[in-house]
Amino acid sequence: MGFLFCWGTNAQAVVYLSTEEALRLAFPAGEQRMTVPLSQLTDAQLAGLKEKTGMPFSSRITHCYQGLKQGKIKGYACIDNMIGKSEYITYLLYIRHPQGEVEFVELMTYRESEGGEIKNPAFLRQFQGKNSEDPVRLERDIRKISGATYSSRALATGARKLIHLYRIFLKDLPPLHQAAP
Amino acid sequence: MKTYLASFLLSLCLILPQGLLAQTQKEFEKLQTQVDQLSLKLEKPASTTVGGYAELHYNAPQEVTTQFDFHRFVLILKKEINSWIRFNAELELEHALVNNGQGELEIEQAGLTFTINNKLEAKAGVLLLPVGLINVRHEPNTFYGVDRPDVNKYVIPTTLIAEGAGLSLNIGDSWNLQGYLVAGLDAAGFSGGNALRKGRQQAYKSDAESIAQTGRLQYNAPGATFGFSFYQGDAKTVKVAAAASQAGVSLDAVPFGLYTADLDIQQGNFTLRSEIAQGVIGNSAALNQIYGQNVGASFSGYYVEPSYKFWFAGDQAIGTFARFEDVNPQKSMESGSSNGAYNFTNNRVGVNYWPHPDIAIKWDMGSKKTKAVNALAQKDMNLGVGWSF
Repeated sequence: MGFLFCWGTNAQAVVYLSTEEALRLAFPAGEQRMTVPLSQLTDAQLAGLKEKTGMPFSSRITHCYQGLKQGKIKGYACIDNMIGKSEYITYLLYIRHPQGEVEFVELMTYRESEGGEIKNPAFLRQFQGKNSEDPVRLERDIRKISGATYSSRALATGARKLIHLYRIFLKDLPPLHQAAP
Repeated sequence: MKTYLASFLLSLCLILPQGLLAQTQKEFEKLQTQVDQLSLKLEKPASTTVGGYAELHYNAPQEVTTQFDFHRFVLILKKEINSWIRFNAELELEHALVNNGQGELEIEQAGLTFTINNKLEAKAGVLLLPVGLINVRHEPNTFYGVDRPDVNKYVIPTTLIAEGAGLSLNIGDSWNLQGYLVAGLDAAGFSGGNALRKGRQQAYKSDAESIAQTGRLQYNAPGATFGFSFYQGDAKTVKVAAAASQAGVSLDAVPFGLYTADLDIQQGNFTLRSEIAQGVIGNSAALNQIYGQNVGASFSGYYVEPSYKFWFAGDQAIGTFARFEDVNPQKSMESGSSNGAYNFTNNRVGVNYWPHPDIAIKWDMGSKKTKAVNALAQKDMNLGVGWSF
């Protein structure tokens, strides 16, 4: 399934990291990655996520993987797609378990014609250490890049969504058994 | 090896209860449909998007009639022509109506952008010149105050557009350098009170005798933007040359220059924005002999705008600002004397409420005071709503 995200051959698409490359950053050698069954989210959990982001949660555009080392959960990597102004921005966010803190965000594919400045490492570093207690909102705890407001906001909203996905759902999952392709 | 694996899987399938297999098959088909839908979305062909912005003002100056003004309605059209060429256009209607010289319908930009690689773009067409902050980015939800700063009217003649072409280069993660050759200004429109403003040709059959150069160096990091821009050229158009010879005035050129520095810094809930501009007009004495407009040899202006966001609820926010402005279109004179009425300060406070990040409801009040002898401060209050879409 994952390979889908690097097909991006449409207008302006810039692929910074393929799905495989991004997942390798999240799960180093010796760690197993398991596919998280996001379709199991209950209506109440979906409603909780919608409240945090203002948009319906869709497991069609979000995919999460659990990292296991010797049967212990190390963290969760989610590959998500958020619309900037009119195109999807594909990125990976890694949350450490059980701390529930963002360890890093990596931009994977950028398709908008303007706003690519969010690739700036200083922008992406701002998500480090964020958890569900933080607002994770643009111009509050996430500073925008001038000229890339829509893309900056898309990533802030996406990160907030995934952080709360962790709080509402991922945090309580047992070690999973279905290995990711 | 493959054959063994296949027969092993086949026997495994036969062992699996039929119900479970059906379940897996159903799930697989569902997944397949989802993949197809998603890939369609991700791989949609070159697209056209329509956006824009609008602002409605209620201006209440103390001494003059209070009025509503649907100040701007702008349509922005973007078309991805192919994987590396796109077309951007911005069409603006000012004051809702064009009638008897009132209101304006104009092209704000209409140009092609060629993405040469990740770092380099080339642009050609009617371009928005990269002079200062607001000239390029002026959606009403992005700034405080109902009206744009006066510096962006009398000193940086916003919106500054021109026909031309040039390059934009990204250097590292945070620096950008742009340079363009564009149609210049027409000195026939220069004036004492407005400096360059009425000299803009607005891409209307621009005189191509006067080519200008413009450029910008910008540092852009999260929460911090610094920029330096220049715009310079010769404003001696064919029209000006004819007027000069008719008036019997010797005029080689009307060199002009506009140099700006700006910053936009966000630290927590606090933001500081400022633009400083300084301009020169050469041979202004000769120009004044021809047109009698009392044009200054230099002009300048600045504003400093601290602001603070103090309330948030989800996507909503409220912020307050103060803005201190100084506008001087006749900073120095080559001939004649400056008119104190053109030199003014504009100090203002106000509040923006964003019910959504793309919409700002604004209130501000302030006073303008000119340097004319015995001038009184002119107070005003403004309400506005602006949105981009």
